[in-house]
Amino acid sequence: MPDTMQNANEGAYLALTPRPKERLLSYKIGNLQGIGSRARQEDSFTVMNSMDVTAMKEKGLFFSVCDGMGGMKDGKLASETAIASLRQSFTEMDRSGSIPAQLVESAYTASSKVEALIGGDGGSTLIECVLFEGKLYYCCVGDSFLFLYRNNELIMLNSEHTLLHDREIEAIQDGDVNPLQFQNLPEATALTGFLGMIGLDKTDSNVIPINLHNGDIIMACSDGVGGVLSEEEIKESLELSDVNHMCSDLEQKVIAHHRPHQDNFTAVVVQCIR
Amino acid sequence: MALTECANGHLYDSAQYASCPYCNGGVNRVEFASPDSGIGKTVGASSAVNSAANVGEIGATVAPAGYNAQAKASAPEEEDIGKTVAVMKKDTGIEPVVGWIVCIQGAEKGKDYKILGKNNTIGRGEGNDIVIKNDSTISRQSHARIAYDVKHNTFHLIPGEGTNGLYLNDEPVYVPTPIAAFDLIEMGESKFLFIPFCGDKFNWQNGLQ
Repeated sequence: MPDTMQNANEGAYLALTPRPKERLLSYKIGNLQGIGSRARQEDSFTVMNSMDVTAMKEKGLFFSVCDGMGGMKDGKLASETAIASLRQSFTEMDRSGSIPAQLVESAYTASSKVEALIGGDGGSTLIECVLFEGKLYYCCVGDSFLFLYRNNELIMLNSEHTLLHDREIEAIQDGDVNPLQFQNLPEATALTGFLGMIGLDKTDSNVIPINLHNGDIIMACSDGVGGVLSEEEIKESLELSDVNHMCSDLEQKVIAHHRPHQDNFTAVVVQCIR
Repeated sequence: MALTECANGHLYDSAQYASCPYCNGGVNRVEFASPDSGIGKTVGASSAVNSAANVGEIGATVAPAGYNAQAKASAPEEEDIGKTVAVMKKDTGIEPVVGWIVCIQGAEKGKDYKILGKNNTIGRGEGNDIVIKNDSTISRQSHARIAYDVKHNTFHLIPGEGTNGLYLNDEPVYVPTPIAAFDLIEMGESKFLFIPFCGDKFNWQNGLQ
C-alpha cells in the first residue's frame, strides 16, 4: 500500500513508470553563458562533482543557475553570493537526512546572505538541483527555468514567482479560469520572490524526488534562454546527441534571435545515460 | 576537447582556454543592438555604458514597484563594473579610475584604457578588465595584470597567462614589479605607457594632498 501511495503522489508531478532497479545513471554535463546586449554579466552558475565519478556517485551531482536582478543594486554580487552559499550548503549536506528539506533550507540560507550584503535592494533568482541515486531534487525561486526533456516532451518543472503568475493562480483558486484577463497587467514580469528579498516566503521545490530515466535531459537556465527560445527550438537542440553540441546549439539559437535587448543568458544541461 | 571543472564549478575546454573563460563574466559578448559600437571597443568605456543605459530597464529582472522604492531609484549604474566588486567600490560606493595605460604602438595606437582600484586583468577577450581586442598576439584571458594597492597607492605589473612576452622598459617581467609614471609596458606587438592618477598628490581616500 505505501508503494502505491508513493507512485500516486509522483503521478501528481509527472506521469512516471515505476522506478527501474538497474544500475545508477551517469550524467554528462554542459554549460553555456553569454552576456547578450547587457553591459555586464549578472548571471552566475555552478556545477559540482561533474568530473569526479566517485564523488558524483557518493555525494551526488549539484548544479545551479542564478540570475542576478538587473536594474537593481549589483546583480552579479547577488548571484555570486548565492552560488557560493549554495556550494557550501551542498558540501555540508547530510545525505542520510531529507534532501528536499535541506535543499529548501539552502535556498533560505543563500537568501539571507544576499539580503545581509545587499540589504533587500537587489537579489537573484534561483534554480538548484541535486541528482542523487538516480533522482532529481530541485528548489527554485523567481523566474528562471528548469526543464525536463523526456520522450520528446519538454516539461517545465518549476513554477515562476512573478506578479502575473501569482495573479493567475489566485484567480484560478477563486474559480476564474479566463487566462486573458491579466494580459495588460502592469509589471507582469516583476518578481514576487527572489533570493535576497526581505521576508522571502516562497520556494518551489519537489518533496518527492523525480526518478530519472535513461535519456532524460535536465536543463536549468536563466530567462535569457528560457524566455527567448521557443519550446520547439529548445527541443530541437536537446535532440542532438551530445551535451556540448546541445549547449553550442542553444547558444547559437539565442544569438541568432538577435534581440535588441538580449538579456544575459546562461544554461546548464545534464544528460542522463545508463 | 579536455573538459575541466574550475574551482567555481564552470565547465570549459582546457585545450582551448588557459583559464576558465566564465569566471570573469562570460566569454561571449555578441553585439546585439549597438550599431555605433565599432571594433576595438573597450569594455568599461563609453559605448558599453551607453548600451547599458539604453537597455538597462527593458526586459531586466526586477522586483515589483512597491517592493522597495529606493531600489528602483538606484537602478542602472553608470559604469560597466559588474565583473567583480573591488574594495574601493565597497568603501566609496563608486569605482573610480586610478590610472591609465595608453597604447603608443600597435593595433590600438592612440587608445587609452582605464585602470580601476583593484587587480585589473589585461587581455584580448571581453572578460578582462582591460580589453585590447585587436592585437592577436595578446592572450585572450589575462595576458598580464595591473594591480592597484589601495593602502599604499602603488601599482604593480603582474605577469599572467601571456605566452607572447611581457616587458617593462625592455626588461622581461617574470614577477610582480612596481611601475611608475611613463614606464613602458610591452605586450605582444603593442606598447603602452603607464600614467598613474592616484599617488602621492591625490588618492580617493584622502583627496588632494
